[in-house]
Amino acid sequence: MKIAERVEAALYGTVHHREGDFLAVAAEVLGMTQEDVDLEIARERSDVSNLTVRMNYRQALVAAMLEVAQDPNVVFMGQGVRDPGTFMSTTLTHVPMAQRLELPVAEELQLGMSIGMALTGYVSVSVFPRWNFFVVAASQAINHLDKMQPHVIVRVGVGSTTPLYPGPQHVGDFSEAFRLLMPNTTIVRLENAESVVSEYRAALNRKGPTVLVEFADRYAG
Amino acid sequence: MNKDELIAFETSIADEFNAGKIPYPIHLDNGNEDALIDVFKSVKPKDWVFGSWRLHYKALLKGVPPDELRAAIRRGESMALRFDEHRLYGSAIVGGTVPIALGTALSIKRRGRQEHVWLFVGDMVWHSGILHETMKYAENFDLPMTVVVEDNGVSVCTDTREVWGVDRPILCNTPGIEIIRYQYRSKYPHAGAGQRVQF
Repeated sequence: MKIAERVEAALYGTVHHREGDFLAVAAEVLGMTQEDVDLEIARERSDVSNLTVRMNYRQALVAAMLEVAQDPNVVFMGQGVRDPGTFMSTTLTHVPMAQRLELPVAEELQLGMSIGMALTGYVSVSVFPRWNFFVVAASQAINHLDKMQPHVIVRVGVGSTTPLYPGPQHVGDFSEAFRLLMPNTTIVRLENAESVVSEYRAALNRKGPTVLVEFADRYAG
Repeated sequence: MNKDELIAFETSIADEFNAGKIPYPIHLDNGNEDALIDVFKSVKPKDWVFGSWRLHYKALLKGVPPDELRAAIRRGESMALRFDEHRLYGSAIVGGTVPIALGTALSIKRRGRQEHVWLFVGDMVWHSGILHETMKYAENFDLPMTVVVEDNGVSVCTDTREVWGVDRPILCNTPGIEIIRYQYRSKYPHAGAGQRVQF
């Protein structure tokens, strides 16, 4: 079976329209290195330049992280960006280690650091796996991120309710509340896989703060 | 800028405020001229300065032209001054710029630049958790940061030592971070320029 067919099979769908980088997605879903995928394609004499991939939610996030990471000024920071531990961790494994900054659990510190890094030209993708955790950083979010308008991308999650229900402190969805609290900040709910890459691309081009909300329950789809 | 020029600038702002020409809160510097002039002998143009709502002297000493500063004050920006080109940032939130300063210091190290972060805090922030986290991180990752503690003994009108139950500032155990502490008393109230204005 050719690489493209194997990717199709792994993704449970047809490979027709394109999002993300084929090499990266193929490597991710087939558990290969990108170099090995590249070698395989060369061996097959396949043309993947126009190949399109329909990704599920998590794969779209993998592709988005890879695309955003192509900007050398991007730094992913938070708990679980280098070390495993959260559902979001699984989408960062292909991002170069040099762009991943594992931080202590100190949410206000983390968001403040993200803002300070933005002042010098870095673009932080600041990772908060649950809205309930981001609330701890609310002062920096409301008083500085929203008012100073630094180029920071906040990645925040609504916790999963299955297969285990973790309780009300882990499943909060405060998107609407923070839209009121941060009127100058773009807050986008990533409702489906199709919007993920384009919304991250827009956030990278926005030059101001963006909060991208993802849903852990959709990782299973 | 020398001591007389600093005092003259702040006096002129006080006069404008008392004449009702600045309908915004202002927090004036006074009594700390010598200490700040001494600190700023080490602050280079490429360095970064972070502070609070009381930032007029620091802005002038960092090189912000007085007319630009005056214009910002007249626009109501005194409590959260921002001059990107001069790398100077304030905030009206207690401890607000503390972790932001840390992020900038981290960036400087990652990029290998010969720049430095000067973080000015009051005696109340000195006791706060966010400063403790910041100094611990800066210490452990050897970040280019100096913390200047401006100790006037009060936060607004609250006696800092009394409410924290201490008789002296307790320093963080961060020998790798330069800490400069000075004490002063201002002739001005926390906000305003004469009688305290409640807002």
